[in-house]
This record gives sequence, structure tokens and C-alpha cells, in this order.
Amino acid sequence: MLLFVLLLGLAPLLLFKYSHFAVSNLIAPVGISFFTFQALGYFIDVYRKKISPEKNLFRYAAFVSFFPTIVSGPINRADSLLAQMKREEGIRFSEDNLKRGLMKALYGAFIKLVIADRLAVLTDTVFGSYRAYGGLILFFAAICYTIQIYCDFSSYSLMAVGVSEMLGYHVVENFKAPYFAESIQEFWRRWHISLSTWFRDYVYISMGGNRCSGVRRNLNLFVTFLVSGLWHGANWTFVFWGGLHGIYQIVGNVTKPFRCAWIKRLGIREDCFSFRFGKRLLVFLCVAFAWIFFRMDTITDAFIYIGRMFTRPEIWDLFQGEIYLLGLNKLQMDILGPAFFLFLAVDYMKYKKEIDIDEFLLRQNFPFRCLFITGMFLYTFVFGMYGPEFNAQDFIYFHF
Amino acid sequence: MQGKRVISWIIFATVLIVSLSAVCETLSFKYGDGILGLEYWYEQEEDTVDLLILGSSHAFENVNTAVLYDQYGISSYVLAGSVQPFWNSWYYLKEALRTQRPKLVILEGYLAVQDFEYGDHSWIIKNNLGIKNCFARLSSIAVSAPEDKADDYIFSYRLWHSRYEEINESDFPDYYEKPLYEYFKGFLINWETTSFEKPGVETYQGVKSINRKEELYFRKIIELCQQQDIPVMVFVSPYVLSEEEWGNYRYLESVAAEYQVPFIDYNSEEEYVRMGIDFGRDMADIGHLNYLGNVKFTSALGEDVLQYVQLPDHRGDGKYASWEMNSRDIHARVADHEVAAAGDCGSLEAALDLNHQILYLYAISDTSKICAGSSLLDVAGTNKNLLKDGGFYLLDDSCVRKINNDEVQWKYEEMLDEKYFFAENRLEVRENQVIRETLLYFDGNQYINEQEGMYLFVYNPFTKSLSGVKQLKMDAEGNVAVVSK
Repeated sequence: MLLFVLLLGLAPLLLFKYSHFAVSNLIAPVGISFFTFQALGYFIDVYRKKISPEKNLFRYAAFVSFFPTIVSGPINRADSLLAQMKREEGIRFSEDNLKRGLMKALYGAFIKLVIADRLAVLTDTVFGSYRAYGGLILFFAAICYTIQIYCDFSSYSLMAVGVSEMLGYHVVENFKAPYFAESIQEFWRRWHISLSTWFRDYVYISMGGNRCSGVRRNLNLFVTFLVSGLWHGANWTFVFWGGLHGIYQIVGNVTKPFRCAWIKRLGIREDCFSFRFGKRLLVFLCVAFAWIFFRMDTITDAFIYIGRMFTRPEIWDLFQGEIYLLGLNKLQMDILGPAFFLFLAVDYMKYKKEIDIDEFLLRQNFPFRCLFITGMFLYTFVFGMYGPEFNAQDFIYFHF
Repeated sequence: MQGKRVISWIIFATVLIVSLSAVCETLSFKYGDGILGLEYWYEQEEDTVDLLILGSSHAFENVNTAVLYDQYGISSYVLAGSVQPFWNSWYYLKEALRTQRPKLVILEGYLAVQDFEYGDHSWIIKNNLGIKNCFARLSSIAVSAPEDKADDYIFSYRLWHSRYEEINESDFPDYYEKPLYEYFKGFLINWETTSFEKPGVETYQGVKSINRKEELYFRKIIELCQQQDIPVMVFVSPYVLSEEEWGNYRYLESVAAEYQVPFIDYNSEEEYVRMGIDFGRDMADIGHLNYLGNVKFTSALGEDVLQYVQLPDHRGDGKYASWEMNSRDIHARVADHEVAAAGDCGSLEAALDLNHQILYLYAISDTSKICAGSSLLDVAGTNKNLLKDGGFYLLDDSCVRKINNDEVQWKYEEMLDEKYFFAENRLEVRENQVIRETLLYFDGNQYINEQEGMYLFVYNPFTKSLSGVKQLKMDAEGNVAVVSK
């Protein structure tokens, strides 16, 4: 019965998203990947008796089609969002929720319109004609894309969380400063949390999860990440990207005993800044490397791109102002600078103290908070990449 | 506690709104050929505009509101934009009639020759975004822009928020504290001069139909005026038109005739002679008259307008003082232009007017030769014998005032409408040599680059602008040359 329900739920997703592997493209409803998984999660939780079935059709429909998150997530669980909808507490509106929600939504708009969409100009220029550029530029563009995709994904989640909060609903957090992770495992505990936990709970654990032998466990992990990659889009590049992350984790798991032994043998201090920074840098570069496959149209293009980074470094580009000829002139880069530093600071604060920007601002005095929010709003209003020349509808997330 | 929260929300909202307003004010479009025309229209005192001129740049560059007022006492306003189609003129007319009741509407007909369904991006912006009434603006945008692009113009901030790379002084309120804007009546002078051959209109023939959308709205303009009992007239200003365009105007004329609306095409041999238009001197470019040509054309237009409708003469009426000031401003700017353009002693002498200009004279060298070689400095009733090398003078009324007395090193400073002006003579020792430095500095620019001759600084306090800085010096032939700085 469960299998039948799952297939019935998955059918539209499979048809709209993956049919082009065989037939010509159909236009998929926006957010189909998200609301399908949200519904499937409900079915599985009911089957597993984790929650009781919802008898109110309208409440169920409200849960599946919850408008702030329907288009691009986060993917909510029934035991969280549906449970909140069931609570009979009257009007959920509160001034505190409104303030927090507004601040989150504003910050989300800020990083999307000022950072993500601005970086998109540069990355589109380079990735679109990568054979015309040297290795340093290609590397720089890959780093920019790494930041862009994070800002793009997390911005929409932030806005969705913010709007939900304004309505009095607390939805799951989706990103927790993933680029400060010290391992790929930790990265996936911080990146697209609602999706990764969904795959963990409904795919990985269903296949046996950690309860299996080492080889089987690694196989489960690999398959889960392949499926995760496939979820992102109907292209082998996404599958490869997912598989690569699976391999990262497998390699990490397999080599862990050896690494720990050598660290001990060499007397390397693990609790110092340099070691932890080194780990973070390595994880960041591995993730950035994988994003190249995510971005390119074909796996071959991705390998050629990567090859050029190493075979044609052309380091002199750094000293000849080439960076300002990639679609963003000096002024645009100058606009990006302060925005990026704010973004970095907020993310670091999230990593270190586990507080979001709204919580940070609410702990400050009113004049600072007032000026900060006004400044951020105006910065987004003026420098945001929107309007006829820029299409803010091109959220990367909207492709899923 | 509750009260404190309310107050904090109010303070936050105030800070946000005030700062956002300032940002919007700075970044929003301020095109003179469209948006500002409407902005200043709304500032006209109610029911003071007797003559409303609608149309394209052939209206706002060719119809001189100063001439209409000076010669006929007509209070006119040119409500026109760049390449403004008849559909935008119709919406402008509807908008105009909300605050004014003109006694005559005249429509400039150039857009009869254009064959497009939708203007380009900049024209859509200029011809629509100045409309205040939200519904009118949206309706106008819906007609002006293709369906798939109309949304882009609904929220104008999406178009101009990214103008930060273009910000200059004209985006700030201070820039508009000039008579040009304070008394703006929609007329913008084109200072260029380009020589053309007179079009051979006497050989033109044929009738050519016009774009259906233009015709539809042309008819709507006439019908609206007639519904409102407002006389309407159509004209075509003189320019270097082609035979095909002439044919378009014949068609337009036939449509106007259906409504018994007078149609005057100033492109005929008879009219060229009557106006005295010289295509070699009076044209700014192929389509527009310059500051000389617009006077001739408007003079004739005013005469024809009064033959059709008797408009009151408002000269001397205090209620119409803004037209008086507009006229003064236009004359003053023409004077500024003539000073700036003057390239010889004769034209410079003709352009100088001590009643309306402030003149400073810095005599560096060859003073006596220049005085002897030109009557230019007689303009001040100057006793030229008073002028000496090294002197800095204010030419004021009928006298000359030496400002620097007899000091060798001196400095003179003044604020001219909040812009810094100074002149200085100083001596510096460099490498055991005494170097003399003479400076004539205004609004961030240093004008003395040759230590010879005399420098004449001409400032117009009415237009609040520098008319020009001229160097007078002896040339190789021993004549007095005028060099613009």
C-alpha cells in the first residue's frame, strides 16, 4: 500500500522532471520537488505510525501547499508544521514574530539581490565561455559560484522562514553556516538541512542506514547521495555531483582511522586555529570543486573546466585587472565587498554562537537596530540586482 | 512598555520613510524632455495656462514660450516629450485638463511620420513616468509598451534604482534652484547650429497614410478638446522634411479637416519666407530649430494662434509673473550663450551687458595695447587709461573699480551663488627663481593657463551660471584676439 501511495505521489515529479531523459521537455509546476517530498514525508510518517493521519482535508491541503515554502522549501515535516496548524491557539500573530520574520526576510532579500544575483553576472560570463579564460579566473569563478549558490539557496529559505514566522509558524531551518564545516559530514548537517534529513530519514535509514556492515553502509550512503543529486535536476551532472559527495563521505569514513593515527603520531594539534582553519579550507575547496559539476551543462565540460584550472593557470590575470572584465566592473565589486563581509560575519556568528541575524539585532539597542535595518534595506533597494535588466525570478532553486 | 514599543515602531518607520524618500528623490528619472515637463506642469497655478502645446521635441524645442509672452502676452506651456506619440499626448491632455482649462490647445504633428506601435525603452520612460495620477499612468503605459513588457514600467523604482552609476549634480535639489526650473514652461533651447539646404517642398506631392494607432489617438485628442469645448489647432514646425513626411502631413491635414480643425504646415516656401527661416543658420539639427530659429517660428505661430482664437494679453499682470520671469530667464540664457560662443571682439562686445552681468577683468600683460586695439572695454564706459598690467578690476556700471589696489601679492574671494570664486596673484621662489602665479578660479576650475593678455570673467547672477571666461590677447598680426577658456 505504501509503495502504491509513494509511486502515485512520485508519478507527477517523475513525469515532469525526468521525462525529458526519454521524451521532449514538459514544463514542470514550480516547486514540484519540494511539495512532493513534503507530501511523501507525511505518507511515510503515517505509515510508520510516527503521526496520526490528518482527518481535516483543508488542514492537510494547507500543510502541503503552505505558500511560503511551497516553491523552494524548506521541506517541512508533518510532526512540525502540521502539528502547529493543529494547535488551537487563536491568532498567532505577535509583534516579536513579526519583527523576527521581517528581519530574516529582509536579510534573505539582501543576500539574494545584492550578492547572489550580482555574482551570477560574473559566473555566467566565465562559465558560459570558460575556454576563453585562464586557470586563475576559472578558479575565482568557481569560488564565486560556490558563494553564489549558497546565497541563492539560503536566501529563499530565509525569506520563506521569515514569512512563515510573521504568520506565526516556525519552519525548519535549512542552512547553518555550512561553509564553516570541518568535514563533509558536518557540511551535510548544515547544508539544505530539510532535504538532507529527508533523504536520511526516508531513504538512507529505509535502506538500513548505519545498522549495516561497513561496505553496505557506504553503499547506502552512496546511493542516497546519487538520488539526492538526481533530485536536483534531470541531468547527469547533478547525479555526478551527488555521487561525488557520496565518495567524499565514504573516503572520509574509510580513511578516518588512518588520519587519526597519523595526526597522533605526528603530534599535530587538532584544537588550534590553523588546524581547524585548514580543515575548513579543505572542505570548502572540495565542495567548490563539486559545484563545478553542478553548474556545468555536461560532465565533460566540467572536466575540461577543471583541467584548464591546472594546465593554464595564467596567474598574471590577477595583476592586470582581468577580474574587472568578467561582467562586474570595479564599482560593482566595491558594492559586493561590504555585502560579502556582512554575509560572512552573519554566517560566522551563526556557526559560532548559533544565533541568526534577527536574534543578534534584537540583542542590540534600538538606535543601532533601527539604523542597521534601514541601511540594509536601502542597500538592497539601491544595489539589488532586480528590474528589467535583472530577472530575480531566476532563483536557482526554482529549477527543482 | 506598550507605549515604548509603539514609539519605537513610529521612529523606525519615520527613519525608513525619510531615508527612502531621499534615496528615491535622488535616483528617480529627471529627464527634461518628458518627465520634468509634467512635474513642473503640476506646479502651475490653476487655470493660468491659456495656450497648451502638445507634441514631441518639435514642440518643446521649437515653440518659445518667452516669445509668445513677450510679443503677445500669451501664457503658454509646452507639454511634450521626446518622440512623443499621439497616444501619450492624449494622456497628457487628459492629465492637463485636471488642473487647467486652456483656451486653446495646439498639437504639433511630427509623430504622423513615425510608424511604430510602441516606442523604445527610453521614450516609454520619458513619456509615461511623469504622470502623477496612478490610473492614468497605468493606462498610458498599457498603450505605450508591448504587453509582455508593460509590467516593467508599472513600478518605476525597478527601472531607476540602479542609476547610482549615473548620479551627478542634476540629481540633487540644489541643481534646480535656478530660474530655468523655477519658471519652467516646458520649452528647452537647443544651442547647436547645423547648416542644411532648404527642403524643396514646392516640388513635393502625394498623400501618405499614417500609422493607424497614431491616427486613432490624433482623432481622440481632437474629439476630447471638442467635447470640452476647447478650440484645437494642429501645426507642423519647419524642419528638413522629406517628401514622404510631407505626404504624411497631407493625410493628417485631411483628418483634421474632418473635424474642421485648422492645420498649419509651416513647411512651405511661403511660410519660410514669411518667417525668414534660414536653414543655414537657424537649424540645430535636421528636425529642430535652434535658439535663433525658434524665435522666428514662434513669432509667426503666435500671430496665427491669435487669428484663430483671441487669447488675453497678460503682460503686466502680476498673476502671470512666472511667465515674465520665464521670459527673463530665456533671454538671460541666450545672452550667456552669446558670450560663451563669442569668438571675436565684435560678437563679444555685442554680447556683454553690464545691466545683467557681473564682469571681472584680470589684466596680466599688454593691457594698453589691448585697450588701444579694441573698443570692447568701452562697454563699461571704462576709462581705459585706468587699466594697468597686474590690475584686477570689477567693471561695474559706468566705472572701473580696482580691487587689488597696488599690492604685488593679493587675493580676492567671493561666493557667487554659493560657488567659490577667487583671483590671486602670488610670487613663489622655485630653484632660486621668482615665479609669478596668477589664478582665476571658479567652481572648481582654474581658467588662467597663459600668463599673458587679459582675462574677462562674465557671470550672470540671474541664471546663476558662468557665461564665459575670455582671454583677450594680441595675435601675431597685432590684432586683439578673443579666446574662450
